Amino acid sequence: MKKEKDLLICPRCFTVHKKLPLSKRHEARCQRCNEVLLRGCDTLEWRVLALSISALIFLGLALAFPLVDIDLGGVSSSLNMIDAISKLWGDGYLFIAIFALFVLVLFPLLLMGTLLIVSIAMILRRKRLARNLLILATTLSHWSMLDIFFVSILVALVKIYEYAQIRFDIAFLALALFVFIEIYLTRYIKLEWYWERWERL
Amino acid sequence: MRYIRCNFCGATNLRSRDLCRRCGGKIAINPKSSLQTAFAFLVAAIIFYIPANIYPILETSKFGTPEASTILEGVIAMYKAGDYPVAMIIFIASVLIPILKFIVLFYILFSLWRKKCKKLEQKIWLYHLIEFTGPWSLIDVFVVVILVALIHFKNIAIIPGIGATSFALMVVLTMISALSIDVRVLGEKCER
Ligand SMILES: [Zn+2]
Ligand SMILES: [Zn+2]
Repeated sequence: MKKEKDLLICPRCFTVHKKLPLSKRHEARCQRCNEVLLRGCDTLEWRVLALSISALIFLGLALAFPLVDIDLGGVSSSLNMIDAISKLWGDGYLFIAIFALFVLVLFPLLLMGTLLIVSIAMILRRKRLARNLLILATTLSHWSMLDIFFVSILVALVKIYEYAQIRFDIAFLALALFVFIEIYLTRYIKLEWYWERWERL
Repeated sequence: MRYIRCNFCGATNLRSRDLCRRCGGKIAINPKSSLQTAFAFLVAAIIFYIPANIYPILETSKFGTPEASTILEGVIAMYKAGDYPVAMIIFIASVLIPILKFIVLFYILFSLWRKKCKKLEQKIWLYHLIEFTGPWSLIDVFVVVILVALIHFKNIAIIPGIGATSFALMVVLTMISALSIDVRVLGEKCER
């Protein structure tokens, strides 16, 4: 009888597969629907460690400094995420302010912080801690929306570029890098693969 | 089938288990409760879709005269200004995708309820598409947040309208509805 651990069910078509050893840079695909089931990576936790630290630094920069400066008919202003949210709050738009605070600041910070501790816990073979934090990260990954916010900045600027002079700040680049790393850590590498790795600790 | 996939962590579990051997979450399929939850959130989302489109998403007050614009008015204005690509993006993300999502979610919920097995793979593909594109409808809400922060003059004030709040709520409710659908039910019931 095969063990549960040695089987993998395709998330798309539910075909049951038997796991085979996977060397790095190789990927396992579903026989029926060709969905990527796993990507080989020997150093997953180290990669996550390095990238989540960088992501936290970039996010810190993106939150602390203005992202974009504009000059609109001689009046200049800048876009700072924390200021934007507190302005909404001050104007009485409580729901949008709280929503933005969670999906643009708290959840991204928590998600990256959690992945950082997950990687450390996996390196130190603290399976219980890693498991609890993986549960948290899986939940959070649906609700971190800085990638959408990044595209929204570009859309907003298109709306005003005719009237305003726009200058991108360094924090904008930091935000772009954060988004890039976040997509890599949660979409390219799927969180399920962290679980697979965790199982083999 | 002997095995079942955990919805949360993806682990393969024996059917006889109650809790996932890996993440400890419930793994039993409960078609009824997941259907009801998803349906309730979907209806709530559709209710919020109405104010989201009728009420202005952005109000500008120039020299004391308020000017309001709904999502559609914004799209038309951008189209007239010649920003075709952005007008298209906003139209697709804010008007078309929500409606398509409602239709697809209804279709999937109906198939789950009636246990229809036709075009199973397309249904699951559509479900994953919705789950993936869901939050992108929030672009318009975030654009409002950004414009509110960027534009503040003595005589021009930008105010997020009721539309923006309704729209954000609509998107969140649709996301919760999609997340509470258990696609395994489709796969399970129809497996050979
Ligand atoms: Zn498959
Ligand atoms: Zn599980």
